[in-house]
Amino acid sequence: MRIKNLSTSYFTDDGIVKAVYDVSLDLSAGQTIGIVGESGCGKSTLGKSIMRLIRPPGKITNGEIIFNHQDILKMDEKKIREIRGGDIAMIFQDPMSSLNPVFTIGSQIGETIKLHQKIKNKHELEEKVVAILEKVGISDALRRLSEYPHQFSGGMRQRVMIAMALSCNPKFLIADEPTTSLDVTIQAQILDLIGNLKKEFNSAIMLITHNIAVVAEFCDYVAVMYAGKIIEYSNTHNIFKNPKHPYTRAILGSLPRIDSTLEELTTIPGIVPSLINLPAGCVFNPRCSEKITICSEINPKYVEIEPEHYTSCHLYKEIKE
Amino acid sequence: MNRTVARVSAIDDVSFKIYEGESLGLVGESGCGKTTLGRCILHLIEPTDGEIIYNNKSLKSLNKKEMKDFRRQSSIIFQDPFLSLHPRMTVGEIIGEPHVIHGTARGKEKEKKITEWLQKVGLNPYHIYRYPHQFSGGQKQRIGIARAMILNPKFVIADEPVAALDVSVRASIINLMKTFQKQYNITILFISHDIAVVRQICNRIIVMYLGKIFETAKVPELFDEPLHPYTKALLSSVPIPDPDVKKERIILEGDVPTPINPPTGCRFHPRCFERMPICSEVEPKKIEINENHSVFCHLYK
Amino acid sequence: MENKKGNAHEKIIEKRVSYYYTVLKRFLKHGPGMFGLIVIMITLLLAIFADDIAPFDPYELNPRNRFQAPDRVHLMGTDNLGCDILSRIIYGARYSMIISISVVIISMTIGVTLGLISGYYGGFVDEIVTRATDAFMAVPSFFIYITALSMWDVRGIWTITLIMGIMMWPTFAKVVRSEVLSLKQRPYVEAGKSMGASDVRLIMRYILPNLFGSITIISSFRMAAAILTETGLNFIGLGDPTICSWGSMITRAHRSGAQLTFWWATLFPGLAITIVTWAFNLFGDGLRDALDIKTVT
Repeated sequence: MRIKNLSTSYFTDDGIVKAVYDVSLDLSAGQTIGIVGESGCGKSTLGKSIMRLIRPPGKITNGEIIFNHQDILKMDEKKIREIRGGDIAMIFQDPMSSLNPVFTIGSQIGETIKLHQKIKNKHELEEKVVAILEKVGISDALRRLSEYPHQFSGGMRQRVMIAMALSCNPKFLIADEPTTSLDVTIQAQILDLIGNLKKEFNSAIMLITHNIAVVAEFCDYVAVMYAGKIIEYSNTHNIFKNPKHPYTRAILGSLPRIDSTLEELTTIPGIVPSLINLPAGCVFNPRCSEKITICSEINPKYVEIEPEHYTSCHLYKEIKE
Repeated sequence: MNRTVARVSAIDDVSFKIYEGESLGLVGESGCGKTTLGRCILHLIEPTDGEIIYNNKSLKSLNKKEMKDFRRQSSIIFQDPFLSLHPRMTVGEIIGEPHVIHGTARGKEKEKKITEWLQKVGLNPYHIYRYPHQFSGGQKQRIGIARAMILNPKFVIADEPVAALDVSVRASIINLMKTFQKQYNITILFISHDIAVVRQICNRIIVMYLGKIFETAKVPELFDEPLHPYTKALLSSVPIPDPDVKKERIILEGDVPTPINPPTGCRFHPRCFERMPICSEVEPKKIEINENHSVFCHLYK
Repeated sequence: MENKKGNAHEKIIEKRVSYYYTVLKRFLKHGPGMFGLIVIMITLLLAIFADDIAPFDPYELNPRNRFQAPDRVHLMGTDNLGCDILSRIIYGARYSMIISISVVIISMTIGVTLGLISGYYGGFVDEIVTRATDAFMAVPSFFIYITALSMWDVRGIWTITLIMGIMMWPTFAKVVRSEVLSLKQRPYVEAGKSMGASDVRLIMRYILPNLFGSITIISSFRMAAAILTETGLNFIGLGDPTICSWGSMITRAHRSGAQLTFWWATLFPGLAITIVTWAFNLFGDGLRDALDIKTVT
């Protein structure tokens, strides 16, 4: 998948909210990318934009998303629906609100399979549903087919969501905060599960989360977002060991760790800017501890500063070819 | 007419001490009872059995005046910055409320103390006329902290104070609380599901599971030498922001069970990777490994 | 210190944006609600300044002027006893307002108090109040009115008001109680408790202010109901015959036996009742929308 210059905005009474601005990313089969950022940085909107789930007053205002040699943003509704849930699947943060409480688990997963794989035979459908439930680690799957979402625990529901997402062998999986509402031991289970399934299906995964520690272990590449823009992108090792952008550095310094007690954690003064009234120049400049004069005037370009390491910051120079 | 539908035992036979001046962390996942425990300690919920003893007096035995006095010396910081502040009161009124309730300061003197604490938590004095909804999550939490601190309490319970905040804001709140604890020598009970945060603030930790205490230890020791299998699993599940650290992940089977029908014997036995036959029958008793470290597990003697 | 760093970059809000201000702004934008409010204001003005506005004495009998259709002198015509209808409508506004406001004050006082106590304390008191509420709501109110008013010989307007007030408290109590039950759980109420606030303070300062919205809305609807009830009572002969409330105007016209040709005597009071009750309902709706918690706080 290639995302080029994607921009999504919400047109509200108070002004235009530039939720995602000029985002470009590449992802190949079998790779995992982590999209990291705090609340309001646009990461969820990015995920939804790829699935074309943006509803008014939101609108994708610019860019292309090339998948399987076609631009998703130019496809008609019918084609998109075929892809959604089929080639591209999405898991959401709160499984309870994504699962319909009045239908059984079996019927909900079955519906997805029916839509995309066009299986009419009830028996065959049931077999497939049981198979996928077992695959995600739900024991006693046959019995649980006829149960309702509220009868499952949080971790279980998330597994069901994953089952639904994987039921049609997607090439690309978007996981939007899949473990945020789960306990940490359950989070470990779910991430482990997703990791195993990734190996088996060789899907590309985009993991959207505000928990940067999670991506350290799980992702190959990391993109850090702030106020709608990607401010740093590289492979995982570079981001954690060799972070360039002041925001990335500050975030990493502010994390409480279980392997050490820090005298004082790094803090970032101020608050995230309103996406309607972004500051002039670099979006991060009012809070940046390393800023220079030019930062409040000109928006830095997003360039490659080292091999496979991109950032938008005036402190760094683009590598010469 | 009352009908008992089910007995949900949130906390079961839990005993521990909190020492003056210490910063004790209470860690556990959902359903472990830590929030309920916090509420019981402040007598916001009445325990079904057992006592909370403060300054040699049982809370149950306190009369109205003594209880009010207890409330003056203790305070709580809540998880939800939004709903823990009265939406119709100004920030000044919210922070000043403890003084109003206890009659400890009035008029100009009260206003002075309010502005003092506003500044101590990093906000501006002119904020006293604003309303909570005009502030960000981190700022609201600072207001909550100012309110909890204004009477210079001896004992503060912090119930997941940073869970609802953004990562970059958490750090400043954690730093703030650490500073206050040292400066004013307060005893803190820090309740959290995030053991990494607890490590930054606390010097002793209690690990809870399904209404029971599993392990208690001083901070570096709990992380360097965890004894209980659950503690080990818990620590191994926490992601570390360092791709080079190769972790031996212990993945637990099954879900966190509900408190409604807890397992027999040791409550962790269905998911324990080191279980023995005795674990499903007999509840483990407290084993003191050394004066700072105790554990409830049959693996130890 | 953090002080300076934190503030230089905050978005500074100039106005004192209190909750009520936000609600007021929303209400002002609500068309139907504003219409309701304007009508209510007009009615109030008529009620207060009736003496100065009304062209004639509403009780002045004028046998020679009976059954006069609306003309330049009597803008709304005269009724079967020769009284000027317009003046009676204006004075009628006074009665409608007094009756509905009094009824609401009585039922609000009883209902809110009971709702607060039963919601906050629960237990035995709550059981009793809930049963009482259910009992009152189960019985058709007109039954009670007929029974009570038939037993009492005094057919005065205050008796009617008192009884209506007593009949209407359950609505307040029920709503207040359920709101108190949920408000009790709010963290800031717990915060108050943890600070040592007394029950009284918690109820009056923390819980009650959150109820103002609902109480006002219910009051609005109840005022409409009071006017209609008074009209109904009048119709079945239980009203106070000495006053010129809109209800009694309709009854008087009806009793004269000549309604059809005599249309102005029923039309105008009927319109008055319809418009004013409708206005109260619209005002209540507007308030309800303006107070919608999800979008305000």
